[in-house]
Amino acid sequence: MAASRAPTQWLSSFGKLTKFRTRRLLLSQMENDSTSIQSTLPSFSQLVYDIWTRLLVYLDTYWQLLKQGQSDLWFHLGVEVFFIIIILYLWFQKSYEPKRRRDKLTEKEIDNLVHEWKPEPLVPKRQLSRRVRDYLLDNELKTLPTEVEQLLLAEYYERESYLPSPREVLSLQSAPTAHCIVNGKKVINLGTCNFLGFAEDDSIKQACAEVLKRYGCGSCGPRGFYGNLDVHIEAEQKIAEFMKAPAAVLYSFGSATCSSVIPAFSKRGDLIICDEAASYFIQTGIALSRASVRWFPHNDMTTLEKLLAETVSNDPISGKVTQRRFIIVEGISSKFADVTPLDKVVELKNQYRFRLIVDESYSLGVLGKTGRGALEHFGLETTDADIVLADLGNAIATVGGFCCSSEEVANHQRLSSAGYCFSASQPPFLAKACTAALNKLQNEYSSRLAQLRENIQCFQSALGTLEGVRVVGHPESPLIFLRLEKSLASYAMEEQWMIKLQEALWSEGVFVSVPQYLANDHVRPSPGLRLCISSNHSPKILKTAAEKIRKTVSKFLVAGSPKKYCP
Amino acid sequence: MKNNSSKSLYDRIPYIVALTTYFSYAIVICFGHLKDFIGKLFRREKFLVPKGYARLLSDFEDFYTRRLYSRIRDCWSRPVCSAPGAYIDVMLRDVINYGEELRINGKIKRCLNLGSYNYLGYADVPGGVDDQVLRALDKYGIASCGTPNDTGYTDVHARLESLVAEFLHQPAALVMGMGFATNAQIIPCLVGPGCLIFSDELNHASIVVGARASGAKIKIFRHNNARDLERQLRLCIAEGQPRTHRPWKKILIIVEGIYSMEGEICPLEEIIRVKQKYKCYLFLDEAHSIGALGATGRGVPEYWNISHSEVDILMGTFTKSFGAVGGYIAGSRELIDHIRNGSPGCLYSSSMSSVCAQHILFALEQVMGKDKTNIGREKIVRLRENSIMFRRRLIELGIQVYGDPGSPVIPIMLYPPAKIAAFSRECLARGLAVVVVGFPATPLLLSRARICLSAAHTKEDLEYALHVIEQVAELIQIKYNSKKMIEMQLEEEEQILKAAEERRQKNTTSNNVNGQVTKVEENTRFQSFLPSCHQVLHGKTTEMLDIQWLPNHMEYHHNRPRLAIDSSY
Repeated sequence: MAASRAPTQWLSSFGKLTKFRTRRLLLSQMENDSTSIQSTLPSFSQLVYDIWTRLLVYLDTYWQLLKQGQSDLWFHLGVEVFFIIIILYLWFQKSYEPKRRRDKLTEKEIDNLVHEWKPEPLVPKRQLSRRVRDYLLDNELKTLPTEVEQLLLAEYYERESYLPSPREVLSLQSAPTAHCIVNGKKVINLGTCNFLGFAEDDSIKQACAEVLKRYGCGSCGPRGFYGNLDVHIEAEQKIAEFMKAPAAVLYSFGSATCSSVIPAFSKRGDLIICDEAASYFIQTGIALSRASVRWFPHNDMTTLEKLLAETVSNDPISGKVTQRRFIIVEGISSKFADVTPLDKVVELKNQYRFRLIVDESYSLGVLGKTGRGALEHFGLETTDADIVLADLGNAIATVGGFCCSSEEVANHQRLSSAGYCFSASQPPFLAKACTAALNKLQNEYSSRLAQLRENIQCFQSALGTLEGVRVVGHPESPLIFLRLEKSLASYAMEEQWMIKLQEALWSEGVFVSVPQYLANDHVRPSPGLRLCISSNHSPKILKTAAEKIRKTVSKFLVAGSPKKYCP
Repeated sequence: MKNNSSKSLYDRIPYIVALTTYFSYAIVICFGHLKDFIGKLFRREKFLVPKGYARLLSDFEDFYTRRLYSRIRDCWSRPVCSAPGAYIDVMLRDVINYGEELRINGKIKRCLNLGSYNYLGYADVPGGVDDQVLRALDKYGIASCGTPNDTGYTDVHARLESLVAEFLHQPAALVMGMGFATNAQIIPCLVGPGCLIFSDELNHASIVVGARASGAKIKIFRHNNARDLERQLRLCIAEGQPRTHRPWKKILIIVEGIYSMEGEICPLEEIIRVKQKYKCYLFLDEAHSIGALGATGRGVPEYWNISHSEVDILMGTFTKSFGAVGGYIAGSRELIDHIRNGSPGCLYSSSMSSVCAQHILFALEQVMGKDKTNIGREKIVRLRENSIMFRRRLIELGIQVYGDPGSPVIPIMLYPPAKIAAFSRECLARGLAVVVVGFPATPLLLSRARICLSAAHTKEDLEYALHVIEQVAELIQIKYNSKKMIEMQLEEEEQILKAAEERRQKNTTSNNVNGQVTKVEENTRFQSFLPSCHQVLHGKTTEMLDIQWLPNHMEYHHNRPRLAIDSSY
């Protein structure tokens, strides 16, 4: 009621004001009715009323005095009017704008420019360089006609060799077991990252078949929109339990995991310190986050410490920082197969107050007592790193990825991580495969991991050292790289050399992998063979394979050119 | 062509609704800040950041999640425990402390599924999956543990790639293990620094990620607006690269076939005209349109009666129409070779599981009629009929819908945020699983519910869905359209459908293979209805006995004696 009454009173008081304009009446109002007004008007209107009256009284007095002829008042009036004019001038003046001279193109000029413009072809032309490369390989690299040399140089300068040449892919025709069928031939499999033999495990396959029969193949929706099946929730719980982390988030693709998680947490203005040899998708994640990034040489802890100290040295004494800072490393390096000294990294991270992201794609199910990865290998817990990521496509032998972290971080991803939010969820049977594989690993870790380590040692000792070839790897890493000690004329030729070697090995009965690297990868390792050891290889198989690799590689090296070698 | 190019999505909001929408956001935000203020006073430990570290979550995002999203969190990520077919079993949850926690309470509700992208119904084939898929699981194992360019490539992938190429009349194709990653990891291989990308403003997040990862300059043009595209293109070509003014290396236009949140079909004809005039390349993302549009399911080019080879890069996913996972790229052999050897997706990512590839092969063979049955074609026709019918009925109800007729995605506009939750919860209570979307996935004002139709839905299912939506629309007052607007919209739709029909006729006369496709026998259409009805009425599990909407649904069926269900029982 009070609220509805107030405006009418206010209006009526205004009405009164407009009525009593003359000085006499105003003054008498002031003297006589002030008490009655105070009692009826609300306080705000009282204030307005007071100001208005005082103003009128003041102007009136001024006018009276002027009429009496006081000359100094005229001077005052002049000054005040002058100031008012200046204020009004400044108020309405146009803001200063330097004249921009933009010569606008006419429509006809634009038409001409459009007509002139010649786009590059969508696909870079590469036929020429391939021909050159074949010629070189056929002719043992020695007698180069000058024109071919020129072409090669031109190619080198134009960075055409920056793209690898097309290759015929060897295609698998069976499960990636110890012996597999490739292009119709039964060969020893050292090519797939099925480290624990879960891809063809019967009990896991059984579990998958049941899920396929019950839930069909795909989930037909993102996790947010009815693509959130009970098997996904189960898999997430299993991962969290296995990794001993508070929470886990399941992604439908391994490579989309790190490139989504990193930009979900670091934004422009944040700082990421990252290992130079980190995988391409970590680099993509960093690029997408738009954070500033500093690289340290692969596994170089002194440089890392220097970078960290440098960053922290500019901090305010109060310890309040607004910049989020991350260190990103891999457990087992995907390019060099060595193990990152995580004990040192965690120590530094705590000392300099950085957050740590560890990519355990190749170390999960391989390192550590129970197979939890590189952190466990160094006697650390998963919670010692802030975020632990992994691709499930290696030892766990399914398709997908996960991210282990605190509850808070996990929940944030469910709304802000592009690869989680905007992608269909993992097919239910693949989630089930993850649960079943982790269950199996939990039950049989001692035997499986011991077998794997034994196999790695057996293979490494059987392979020994090869002349002219670097054997790159860690004694506990199931990945082994063979790279040439003396590099060839160009990167592309070296790649071609390795691909021919792969084909030759296949015809000898060993299936190996030759990973190719993009030219815009931050660190591009020289091309090489990648050998993957699995726990289901028998020592006999490994010894035969090592023998065959030794033989073929040395033949290749002796021949100098792969074309000369005829199996 | 629909003249929506000049129309903005905002044009149809009634002023009063826009006002109340802003007002309700303002109230929620004010209360959120008030709660935060009080929280910071009395529960400091919840807001503390460890000393020496910056806050991990940025302020607004965190605030939005805690104070706005968590209030209606129960409308998303509903756990499901069945295949995403025409019906799904939704596991109900208890909301604890205004959405701070959601606890699965063990009750299960069987709902009609209008939320999954199961356009052709391949998510739920009889027996879960076909036998050949189980055989593939046995033969190839779960995954091949390698990259598609190297050791993870099986002969199933090879067969699938050649079949996709054949389906799209292209020389070559390649497949990847994830649809999102197909865009995100292959666009960087096509363009790089010094190139220009023109992207529709409503393109999917995966395209945005891919474009940003490529390092090319990105320009946005107005949604489905070829005129705006042309205007900007002319200027960009004339001015060249920013600062250096060197000419652009190449220009890539990226559009989608059907926009998943709007249900609008891309005006491909006009885009191609612009593309040809200005020598650009066109990347067409057919995530939602492949299988769902065109007389034989070959996507937007077929819908517009345009040859597939007019588009330089055809991309699509298997997640939606084919009920699996993954994506493909189809194009010239050189293009595919280039991508296979030079994209992070093919060099570093794991390959698709052979089991999924086999399922896609099965579905694709049916769609192409290679299995000597008519099942695939019937599915396409049924999907189109379903979408046209459902859309028309929604418009007749006075509900505001966006998109083009014929698209299986139909957004229902809700506007105020409270209606997002109301619509979703009321529909769930009546046995309808729908997807609702709000800010930040849509602009602040344009919250909506999204219906995805499927060939697995029968007429009865849709009648029931319409009945429920009518009830709910009445209840929460979302019938924003006046009678005049309804008439106008119906007329407009009629014209578009007529034009589409004419194009299809032209296509079939020129290509008489597709002659019998458009006619489907009434009997076959109801065959698949019987099992789903059986499931609904007799219950699949014991938990289903406490389905709340069952009596209602049955009563509804009994009131309509002319339905097929009565004649068959």
